[in-house]
Amino acid sequence: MRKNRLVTIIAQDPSIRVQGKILTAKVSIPEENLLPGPRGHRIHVVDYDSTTKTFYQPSLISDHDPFISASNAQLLNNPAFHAQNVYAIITRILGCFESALGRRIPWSFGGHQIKVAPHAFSDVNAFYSRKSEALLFGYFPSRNKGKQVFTCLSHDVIVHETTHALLDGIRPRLTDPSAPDQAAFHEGFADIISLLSVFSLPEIVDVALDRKPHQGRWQLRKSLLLAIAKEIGQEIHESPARALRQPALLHPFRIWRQQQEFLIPHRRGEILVSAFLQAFLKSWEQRVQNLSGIRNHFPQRNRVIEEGASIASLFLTSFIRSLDYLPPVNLLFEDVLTALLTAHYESFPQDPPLLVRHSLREGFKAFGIYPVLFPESREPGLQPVFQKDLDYSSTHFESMQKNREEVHRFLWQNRQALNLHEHSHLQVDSVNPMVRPGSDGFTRQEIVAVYVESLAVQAGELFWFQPQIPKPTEMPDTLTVNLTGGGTLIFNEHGKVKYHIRSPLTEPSRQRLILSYLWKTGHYSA
Amino acid sequence: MKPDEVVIRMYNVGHGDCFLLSFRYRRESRHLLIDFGTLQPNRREERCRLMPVAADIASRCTGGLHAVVATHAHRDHIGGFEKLHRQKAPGNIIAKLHPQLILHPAIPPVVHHLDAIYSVLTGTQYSNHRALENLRQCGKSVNTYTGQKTGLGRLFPGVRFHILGPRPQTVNPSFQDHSILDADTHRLLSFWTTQHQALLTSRNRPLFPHAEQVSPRLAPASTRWFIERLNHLRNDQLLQLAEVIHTEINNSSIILMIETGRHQLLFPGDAEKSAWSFVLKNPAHRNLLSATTVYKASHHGSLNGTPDALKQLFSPSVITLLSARDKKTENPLGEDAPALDTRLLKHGHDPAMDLILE
Repeated sequence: MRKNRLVTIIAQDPSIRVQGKILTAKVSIPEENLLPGPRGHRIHVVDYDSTTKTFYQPSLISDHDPFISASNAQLLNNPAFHAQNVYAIITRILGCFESALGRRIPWSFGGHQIKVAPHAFSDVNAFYSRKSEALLFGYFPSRNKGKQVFTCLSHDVIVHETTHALLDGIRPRLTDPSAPDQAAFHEGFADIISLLSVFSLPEIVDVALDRKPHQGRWQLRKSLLLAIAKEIGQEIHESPARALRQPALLHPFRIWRQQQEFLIPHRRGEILVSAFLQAFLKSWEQRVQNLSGIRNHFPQRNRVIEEGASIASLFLTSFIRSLDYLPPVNLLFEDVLTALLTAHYESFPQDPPLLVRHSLREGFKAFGIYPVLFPESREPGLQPVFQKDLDYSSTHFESMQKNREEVHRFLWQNRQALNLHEHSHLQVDSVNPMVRPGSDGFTRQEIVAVYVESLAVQAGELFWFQPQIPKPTEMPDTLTVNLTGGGTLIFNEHGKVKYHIRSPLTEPSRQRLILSYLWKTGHYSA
Repeated sequence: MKPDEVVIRMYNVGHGDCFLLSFRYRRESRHLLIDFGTLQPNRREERCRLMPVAADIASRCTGGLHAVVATHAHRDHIGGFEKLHRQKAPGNIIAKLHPQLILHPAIPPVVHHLDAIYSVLTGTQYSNHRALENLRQCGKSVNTYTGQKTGLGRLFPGVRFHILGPRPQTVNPSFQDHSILDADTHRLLSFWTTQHQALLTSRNRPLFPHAEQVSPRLAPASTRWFIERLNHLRNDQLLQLAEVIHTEINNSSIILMIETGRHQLLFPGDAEKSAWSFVLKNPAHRNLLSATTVYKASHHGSLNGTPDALKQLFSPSVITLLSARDKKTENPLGEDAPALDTRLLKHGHDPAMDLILE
């Protein structure tokens, strides 16, 4: 049986305090053979500060956590704790992804260990860099003279950047130029995972309830605990009540697509986060109501805390699993909702009593986002089960479970049935096993294969596609444009295609949206 | 009283701008100097290049220099005014002409703050405040921006001057952060304004002086590649900061339109896209620009100095004055459009060429 160790982390960031003491939490991370850094098999903390050219002695995570009852000053001024904090939070979130998806997650840069610099430079910044194979956290002077703000002590900032790295490993093409929803998804997804990761700590739910006792969903949404980068936001905005982003405060509205500010990825991503939070809070409220049995009678506090953390974990798992049900390129928010609903259905076909899928549909509907509707779906918004007859005679399922060439052969053999373009360049990006507990209690192993089609054509040729793909009026006919499309194939445990989730190369509405956006934003003039 | 003709004398100052506009009236000439700088005024060869230019200006302005316009605070535009205390400095020769009026833009506050941060991080200052300060001491100096009356009209009767840019001094929106922290640019800038003082006090001191440290050279072999990479990233950050300051200063350029007789002369310093987009929003400014007859190519002919929206307003006969950056730079109005190019002077003996407008 795998051993775990309990380590202390800062629950949210140093600005969240209970009776003057920075709120910490204990998290369980897998025990492994660590070298000083800490340096494990997936994460290598290198505490080098390039501003002051200082290299701090690499530290280890001890079996007996020395920071269990550390004072605020010890937490803030000990680089060994900062290293432990980033190491533990990144390990925890990596574990969440691996456990939700039922497989190991690669980093996109090919190496096995991501470098983490908790004090990389003096800057109001933190980011993931594929080129540097690293997560880099800056620090900057606080408005309180003599103090520093460390982004490596903000749980949500660490998770946000780690999620970018993990998403890049799972779906590297989501950083390609495309419609604005795709870049917004990267940001929104990272924010949602951050919020849920923080909220899945019972210590945080406890504080959330203390601050807004039983005052309903809106009061909870106003809580800074449902915001991104509190401490940094407070420094920038000079206000103790402002976080960097507070998507939970975004009132539902449907005309955001017409507004210029929602073309900015972070801002557009907030729509996704807000829609998702609506569903999360509604589900929690529903769960609390079910517990109390009678309206307005609040159940035991411990149960509410437990349920809050547990439903955050459930949403976290469902959201991560939805990655396997997304098309690989040209993502739209509608695809995200369909993937979420389908991923949840696969784990919990019977939705009540949580009504999670209902809450999700309602939460997104409030922002004018509807799932892709297929008439043959078992439930509104679900991806339909693939029904066409395919030729399995020339491929071997055993080989298809791990071999991209074998999947390519399968695709080639079934080009027409799968509606692939005759002249496109076809590439299988990944083939991965997906091991999950089935609704019947048995473990289920399915295969996720991701392929991408691309086709370079002159803009004038778009007119001749069937159906025709409209190009922006001002775009010259002789300009070469690169159309991309692709799909995710889920093979069931018998080797048959269960789902074919597509972003078709020749879908006029989607391609028109992408071409028009890229043209307006100067992608082609570069 | 109107000038009979105008002579635009374009000096070869290496990489930089220097134009002497002489308005010839029936009884006298009146002179306006627009910029006087070169990229590295402290290098001997560049200083040697500026000396004959300063002497030539002095020989032409026997009745005095009436006004100086310093379009913006970059060395290649005002570097000639550095080190005025030295008797033989070229700027000193200009100072002795006692210009009656000196126009210059205000340094955007954001540049002050960014510059302060830059100087803390690198130990050097990016922008060129000292030359501007020196210049201010040479005569009556006025901070100017769009729509302001400048007083130039009184010094040059019969000539109309329009200040099309820069915008009134506000934070320029071109500063962008690409990280998770790009939510509110202006607030971020205001945040930095309070941060540079803190940076001054914490400079190069380790964050945790009591924690155990290892010399980076003796760091474990497995970390050295990454340490090197982090140092590169740091340099990239500084470069980005320098680029931001550079662009902000360019966009603070005075954009001067001079109407004299049937000519409209446009001197925009190094205005870049963001500055032009502000100017082009104003219909009256667009009208003025469309009547341009002589255009000093903004930002030494670079692509972002003359955006398409500006080019489209010009007629094909506009004459370009090109103080080009390098061999690759072309006339932004097209290869075949009429142009005077300082590169033509490089191998000749003349330090300048004249464009005479009647």
